[in-house]
Amino acid sequence: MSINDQKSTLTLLLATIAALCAPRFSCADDPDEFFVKQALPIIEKRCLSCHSHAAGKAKGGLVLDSKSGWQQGGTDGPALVPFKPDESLLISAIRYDDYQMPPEEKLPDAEIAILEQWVAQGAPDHRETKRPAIDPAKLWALQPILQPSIPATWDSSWCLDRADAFILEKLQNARLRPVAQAPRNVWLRRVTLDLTGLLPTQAELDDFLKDPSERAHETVVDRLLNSPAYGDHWGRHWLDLACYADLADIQGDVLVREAWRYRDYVIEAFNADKPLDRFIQEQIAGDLLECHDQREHRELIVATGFLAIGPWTLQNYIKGQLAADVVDHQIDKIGRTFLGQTLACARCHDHKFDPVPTADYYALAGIFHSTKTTSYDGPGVWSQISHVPLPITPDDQSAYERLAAELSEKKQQLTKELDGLIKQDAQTRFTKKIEDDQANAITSTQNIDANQTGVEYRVSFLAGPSVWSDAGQATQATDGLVVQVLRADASVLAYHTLNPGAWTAQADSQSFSPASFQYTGDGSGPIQLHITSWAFTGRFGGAIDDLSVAVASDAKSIFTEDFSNCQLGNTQGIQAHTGRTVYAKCTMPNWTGSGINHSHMVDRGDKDQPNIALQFYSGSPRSTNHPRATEIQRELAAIDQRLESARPDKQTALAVAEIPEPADCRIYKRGDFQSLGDSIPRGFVRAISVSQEPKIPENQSGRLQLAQWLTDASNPLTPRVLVNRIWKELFGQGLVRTVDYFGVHGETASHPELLDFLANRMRIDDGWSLKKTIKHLVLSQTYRMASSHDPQFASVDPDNRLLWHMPRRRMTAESIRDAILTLSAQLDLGRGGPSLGLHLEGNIAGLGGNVNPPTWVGKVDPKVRNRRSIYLPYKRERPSGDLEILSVFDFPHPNDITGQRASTTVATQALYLINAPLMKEQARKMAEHWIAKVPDDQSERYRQVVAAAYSRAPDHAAIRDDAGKDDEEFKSVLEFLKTCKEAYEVSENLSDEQAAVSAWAELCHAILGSNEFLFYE
Amino acid sequence: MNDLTRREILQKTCCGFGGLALNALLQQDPVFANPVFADPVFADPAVSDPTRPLVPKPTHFPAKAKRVLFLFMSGGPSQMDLFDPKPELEKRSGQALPYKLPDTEATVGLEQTKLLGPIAGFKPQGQCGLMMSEMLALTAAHADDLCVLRAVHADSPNHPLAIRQIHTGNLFDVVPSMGSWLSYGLGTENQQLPSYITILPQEGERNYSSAFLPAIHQGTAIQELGTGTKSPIRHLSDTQSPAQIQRQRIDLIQSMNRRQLQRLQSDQQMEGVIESFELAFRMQTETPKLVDISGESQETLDLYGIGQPPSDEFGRQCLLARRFSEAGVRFVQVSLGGWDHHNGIASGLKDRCRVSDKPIAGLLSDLKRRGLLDDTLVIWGGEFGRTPHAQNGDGREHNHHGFSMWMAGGGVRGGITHGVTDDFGYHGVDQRVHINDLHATILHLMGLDHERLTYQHHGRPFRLTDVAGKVVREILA
Repeated sequence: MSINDQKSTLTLLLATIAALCAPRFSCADDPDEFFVKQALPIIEKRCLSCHSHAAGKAKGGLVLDSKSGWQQGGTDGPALVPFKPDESLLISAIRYDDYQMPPEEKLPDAEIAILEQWVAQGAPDHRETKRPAIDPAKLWALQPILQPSIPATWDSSWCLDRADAFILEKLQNARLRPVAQAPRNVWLRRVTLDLTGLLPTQAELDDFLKDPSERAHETVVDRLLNSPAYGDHWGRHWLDLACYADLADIQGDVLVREAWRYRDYVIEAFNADKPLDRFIQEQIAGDLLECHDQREHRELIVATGFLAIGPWTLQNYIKGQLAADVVDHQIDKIGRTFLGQTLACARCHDHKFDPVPTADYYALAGIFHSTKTTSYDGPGVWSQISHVPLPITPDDQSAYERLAAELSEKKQQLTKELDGLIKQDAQTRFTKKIEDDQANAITSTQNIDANQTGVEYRVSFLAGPSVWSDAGQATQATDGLVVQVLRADASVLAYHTLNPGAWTAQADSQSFSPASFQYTGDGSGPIQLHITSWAFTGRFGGAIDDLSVAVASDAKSIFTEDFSNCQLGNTQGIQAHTGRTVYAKCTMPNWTGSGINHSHMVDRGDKDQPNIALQFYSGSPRSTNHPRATEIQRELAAIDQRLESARPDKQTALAVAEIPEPADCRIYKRGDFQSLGDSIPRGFVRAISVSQEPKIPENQSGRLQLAQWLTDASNPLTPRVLVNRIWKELFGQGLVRTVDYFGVHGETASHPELLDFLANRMRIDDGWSLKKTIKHLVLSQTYRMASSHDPQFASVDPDNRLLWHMPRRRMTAESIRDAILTLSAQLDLGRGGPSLGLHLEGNIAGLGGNVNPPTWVGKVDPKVRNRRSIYLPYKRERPSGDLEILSVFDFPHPNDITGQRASTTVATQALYLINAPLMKEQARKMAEHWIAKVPDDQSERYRQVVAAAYSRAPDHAAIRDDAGKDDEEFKSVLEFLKTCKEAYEVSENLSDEQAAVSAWAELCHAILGSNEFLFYE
Repeated sequence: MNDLTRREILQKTCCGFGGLALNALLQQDPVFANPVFADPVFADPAVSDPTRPLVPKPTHFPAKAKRVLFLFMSGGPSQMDLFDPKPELEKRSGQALPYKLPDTEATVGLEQTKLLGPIAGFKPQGQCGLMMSEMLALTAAHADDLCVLRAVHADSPNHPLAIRQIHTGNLFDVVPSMGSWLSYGLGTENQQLPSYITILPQEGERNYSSAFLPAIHQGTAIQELGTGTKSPIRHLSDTQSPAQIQRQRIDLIQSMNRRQLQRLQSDQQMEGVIESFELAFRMQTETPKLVDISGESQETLDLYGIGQPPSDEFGRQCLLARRFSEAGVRFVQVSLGGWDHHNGIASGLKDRCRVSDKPIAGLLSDLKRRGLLDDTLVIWGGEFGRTPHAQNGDGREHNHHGFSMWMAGGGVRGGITHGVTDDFGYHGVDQRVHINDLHATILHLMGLDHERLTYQHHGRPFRLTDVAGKVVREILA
């Protein structure tokens, strides 16, 4: 107990004694005295054990140890209304009216009367806030970074890097010794996985083991740091902190399209070794930094994706709440990522442990409320993430023009070829009746929820007769359209046929007239609309426009499709007689069907553009059965798609921007955006002092100044937090193990001087270079240690805090997947670009008239499917489907700011390894690959497989023991292969060769599930 | 098993992994020997072995309930139509709103909204005279066991947020769900099964996630009811390799792992992996038996409405839930979607009642006759309720300001209502129960103090009820 504590206890004791001795109500005339002598002792005795800072409890959010405590009140608002006991919650609670306080037992009536009287007197209370002041000067992480001297152990021959001296000194002080060096192959596997996330190849292993040079390790490290795989791996660590995902919203699949640009920015920043201070500044305020050319300008805008990409609840009905939550996440992200502080705790109240008052939170909140991240334009409930157009660089423009020229030439060739084919085929096809009545059907693929039992719905559209574009034919009275309402199981709920009437080749008769029919819902679920030409004639259908479904009684619209948003292909011809343009090649978002090529878009010729109707007919003058034609059409569509997506003027990034009128923010009392308190000038966390605090000009948000403040040479936290993160990636745990939290309840550093040494070296000597920092550390003697066990050392330091050996670690989830694909020879080292595959047919849902924004259907582009994990599409939920393996092995939730992933060992992982289709599929491919590579010699094949999977050195490949006999492991492997082969021959009736492949697939499957593969030392 | 550590056995045994797993099964709880599971025996509560995180742990105070069975009605069932009769609303149906809509909430389809009276009649039920909709005629037979909370309130009118809140207490952060908290706080009665099972979950993984709690407390999703070809738990079986090869392959992995462990001398994580393969194998063999309901009598199947449209599927879910609860699973959830009636609530809600009334009534009867209802806490409810005013003419919009849920069994007072909404059923006005309060009460009934059940994360203790929550003492038996 400190002297202060003793003193306050004494005061309290005296006050209590005084109260007990005082005659009752004698001081009623002086309300202040009455409070001190009568009311306060009761409060202290009865209330403060659950409602005070001293007790560390604020039940219901209420503290009663100061006047401001009851003024502010708890979750139900102020506890007292001065002069009005009957309106005071506290009084009602002690009377046991509503709340029953204290919960154990009701107070004696006399005590209740005293408190009532005190409130009736106006509740005088002299006590000031009792928040225990946290002195920033006492918190190690907030102290200036020192320049520690290198320990004397530096002279030891063991030390290779100065960091080693700090490690060795601590070990010696604890009477521990570092274990021996790891074998070279073990070090190579370790450093290759840590720097690139990939396994070393056989050739890399051979090269290193044969390199006698003293610089052999350095050669490896330089090669790894210069490989693009380095950025792919370290970029992913950053994306964990940035809460990266390719899609938005809490259901995970709302399109945001452009997130990948930020991902590629991060990877390239790591590969280019962008100084970390600059890297931070760009991500907070890139749009406000000076730039030299358009390329850099582009990059700087994209960088702010750090702030723009996050777990926003875009469909939150309550927009004030959404804005507050976005700002809160941004503050939390910056606090944890750069400062190791849980600033977001101060959203509702002063931080409970750390010196972060609510006012500081709202000083930062003002900066982010002055920054545009999302916007709401209505109607409906959805907001959007801000998209910022990217400046066009001259290179982009000329690249696009080159591409356009090249493709246009290609397109002309293809079109010419297609025309030829069509001409050949046209004559015979025009008169041929299509037998299949589905041939020219289209169906709305979007389920329409218009099927409540007993409700009458009306399907309305405009209909008109149709003509060939060039055949000069007329329609007959029997030609027509069929519109069907289909249930989910494709059975017909209702249908309607329409004969628009014969058209007699007169231009003026082609007008549209309204048509409609009704049906009654049967409650069987969503319906689909299905439109075909009238099957029995096999001839013209007709044209249709402005299709809608509505509730019949009140015309409440449920679905509309006016075709005006359809994407037009090239003009394919002129309609006979009317002279109207025909767009024969058209695609309609949301619509598909086997008959799509048998329909066309025609310009209705009305004044308002675009004004398009859909025509159906059975058998197209522009089509041919020639297989090459389909191929050409596909190629043409792909060209259009490629050109469209390459248009430089269409490119945007998810990025933040300044708002026109930046302003300070008012405190949200208890975090509630509707209860406004004082206005707080924009600023930073006051407990973190920097030598020159930047001033925020009135007309700026303050992001630029925040970026400067974070990277200020005297900011004690940013470099410490960063080097600790780097250390953690290389040595398994941070010097401060709570890598995201350096606050009062975080851990202290195991090696405080080392942490400061590393922070200084990175910031000053190495100019914030990540690559240099990593290079020092992986070339250190500490990093070269083996993972050997030592019972004595383990009993002294079971958690290996002093690093007497290197830890054994499981590969990251991504490395496991990437390594499996490496071993099966499936890994595609392609990099960069969009990952969602939105150009794939049907991969975007929800574009038509729906209140919800478009979503990603989930098809992964074959182009990226086998790429490294970082390049795959991420939903805003734990990865599933093809990426389920990542979730199984502790990939973080993308909404969580994650500096250190969990490392779990659970049965679901074993089930996955044993049974998941991905494991079986890749094991078989792996077997096929290695059998092809080493066709004849089983033992050589096994040696090579384990060298690749386990990075074993050839002399440790465990085929023969010292006596030259098959060793135990290899014997059991041979036995296993034999059993498997026999089983497959018998039970599956496979040939000798097939059974051998299957047996090897089983062996590969076992290897992929073994610890020696999954872990590294 | 007492003298040898598991690792020693693994190192010394020569009968292979399969043999060991089988051995373990024989020596441990013979819970699967009988189609009606033996009452699982509580292990010594003093045991707190970090390597066995699911061993039953002591409660903070004596528990009224040993397990929870949560019937989650996803979408937001309409309280004014089911459990909270409003004569005033019925009288003024079709009239203009007597209240203002909150201006902080964006609206859709409320342009010409009017009050909408209840779609079906109410009747007093049971000896207690609990008012229930005529649409719930079968559940009504249990009226004297139900404790209807009529003024529950949540913090968001958005499905995903409110769903997350009812499961985890929190709208935004990635935090553990209540089943995970219970598993963490209490362990589980049956070491052969996951502690937390969710049957056909309708919503994302985050709603049954253990978040920062150890992954062992994650809810296990049953994704198939045991009738089709899909395995009930993800990756539970290998449908491609011959059975004996699967066994051989697992044995090979285990022998490779053991050999490596020998070389390394000591590594807890490696031992953990070897253990996890063992458990995986047990789950692979035993879970399919548990989800197979073919041993249940026709009378029982009929009780749940199994084999009869429209209650067949939900009936199967409820029967499985009973089997899991009976086998000692700490937290079982059954989900039923389709309560989001923005349009055509008259037909839509009747449909949901037809689907769920019989299975729920059957479940309560079955629990009761097996003596399980006394210590099983059954909870029914959605993420929010609906508005007294119409949306799109004949539907209702989301309403998180005041809605109904019910609890039964495990230490709650039956045959009562708690909480009052206004004359129209829009806002709770008295005895309101926030989701945090609901969670505090659930933990209380399970013998846990919601303020003491904490987990250290990001430098501070976290709990299911965050900084709020008040046990609803009035409903405790």
